[in-house]
Amino acid sequence: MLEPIPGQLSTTAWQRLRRNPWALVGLGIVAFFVLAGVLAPWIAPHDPLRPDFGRTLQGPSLDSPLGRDELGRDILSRVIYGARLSLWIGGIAVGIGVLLGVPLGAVSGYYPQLDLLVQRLIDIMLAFPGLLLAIVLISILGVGLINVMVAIGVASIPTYARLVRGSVLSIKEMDYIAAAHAMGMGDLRIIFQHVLPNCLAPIIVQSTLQIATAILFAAGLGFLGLGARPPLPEWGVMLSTGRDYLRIAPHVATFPGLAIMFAVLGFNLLGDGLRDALDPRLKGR
Amino acid sequence: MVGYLVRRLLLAIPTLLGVTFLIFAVVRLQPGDPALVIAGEAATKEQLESIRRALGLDRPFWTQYLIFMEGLMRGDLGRSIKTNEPVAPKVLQRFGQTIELTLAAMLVATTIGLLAGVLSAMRPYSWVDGLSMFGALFGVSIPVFWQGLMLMWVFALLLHQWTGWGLPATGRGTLWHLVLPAIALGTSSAAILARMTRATMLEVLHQEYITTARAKGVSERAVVYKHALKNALIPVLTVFGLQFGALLSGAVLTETVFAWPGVGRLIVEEGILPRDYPIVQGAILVVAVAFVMVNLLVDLLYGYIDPRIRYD
Repeated sequence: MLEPIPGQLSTTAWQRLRRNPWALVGLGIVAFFVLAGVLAPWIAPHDPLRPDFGRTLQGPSLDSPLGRDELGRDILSRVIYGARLSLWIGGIAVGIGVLLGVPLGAVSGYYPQLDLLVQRLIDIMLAFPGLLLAIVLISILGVGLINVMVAIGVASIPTYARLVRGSVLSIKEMDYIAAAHAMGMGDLRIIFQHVLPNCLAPIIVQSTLQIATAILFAAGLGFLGLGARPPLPEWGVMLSTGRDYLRIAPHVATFPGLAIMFAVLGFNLLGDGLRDALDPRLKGR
Repeated sequence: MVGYLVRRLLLAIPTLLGVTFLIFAVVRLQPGDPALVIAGEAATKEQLESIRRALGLDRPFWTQYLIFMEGLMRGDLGRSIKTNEPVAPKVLQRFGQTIELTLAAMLVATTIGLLAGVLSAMRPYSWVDGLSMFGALFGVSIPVFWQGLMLMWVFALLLHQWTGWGLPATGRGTLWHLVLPAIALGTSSAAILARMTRATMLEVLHQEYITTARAKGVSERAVVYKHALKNALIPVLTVFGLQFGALLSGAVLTETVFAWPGVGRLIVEEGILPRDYPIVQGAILVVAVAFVMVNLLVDLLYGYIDPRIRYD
């Protein structure tokens, strides 16, 4: 099997992505949220933190299309700034997962002696179901935005480690790796120059899907009171306060929830599309 | 088969030991002094010291760990700092209630998920398939706590407003109390199961033995349910096992929305927020051990159903 030339791979992958309507929808949604987050200071109609006690729990109006919350703050502005916050959390959490999980997986896959130990460590981390692991980490680190990013990032390390380990185990046996060894290339150089670049596709797919998970987890932690603190316009925190006003002002809880759902949907669709585009052999899984 | 069983069991032991150690270490790493929590801010240094001695906090780390493990063997998970009640009975009772919710959610997930998946596979690319998979996409993306709130708003509050009767919004008591939380919690698993079942069924339906069965004149119903589904269920089973973990995770959020008295709420509201570490320790331990055991069970079941796995 020939080693694919990186430039060639990305061109054909992009062509495949373009032909997948759902992936394009996902891309569109993600682009929308990214733009909203980046341009928040310019497109948000009001200050997301400024209360207006004369307009508490006001329903949707021309001035505030999504209504106002329990302190009279404009929900649309808070949702837009919330996008910014969620993307930060997603990006940093995924960054931590990749930076720590990928090398761990690579080393574990490449050196069988280390593999046994690393696999046991990963098993132990994976013994805590998803969100619970993040909650356990928050209980050590304490509540707050930065700790949420770290907790979610650390909780995603086992996923990356396992993924990369799997890829490395199969790539390790290939002829071009044996050739590199025979040429006297050092292990580290082989890992970084030949092994990891061929794991890139699953890492990209997983990262996209992981951003969706990070956004969900961050909102969940915020909802439980373990995440970002008020008055930060974090979607989960907004939902948590919205719960108290469900009977009289359901709009407070409705719109942040819709935002979370569409953001997650976008990243899931894009991730699925990337998976099909980058490795069509995985289609149908 | 026995060899496979023994191997899997042996692998589970170091994992369980590691889990207990991690939980013990994590709890000890938490900021805050439990002695201060019990005695209050006005306590004297001598009072704090005597409380620490009573809790065994003055001993070295490894001695504390051995005492903890010895207590674990006896089923003693310590006492709550706030109420001084034994932790084990409370955690086990609340865990039982979480399992109740989780099982109900699994029932919802399996019924809807398998049905949708099979229907989609039988008529691929039809409107049934489209609707099903579209629904699955939303099911995977919808945040469980938001879905819970919306279900509560529509079926508990609005329905009550319009008809005088609505589903119970919070708490536990009757079977009706389970309906909304189970649907909320089970939705994302239903979605994942639907997609998985569709994919595996489609793969199986293209196999040669299915073509042979059809050629022999076997009814389509028998082809699908007697031959295809059984084989398609094998990978679905693993997803099912994985979903148990996701359901336990999601239970924390669902319990908070619906005020369901489960272990998830216990961990957050009575453990982490008031810094009552024996509760956090005991509850997380029970959840993690249960999760490891369920994964083990799924592995063993998988080995039983698919003999090829045993020779791994």
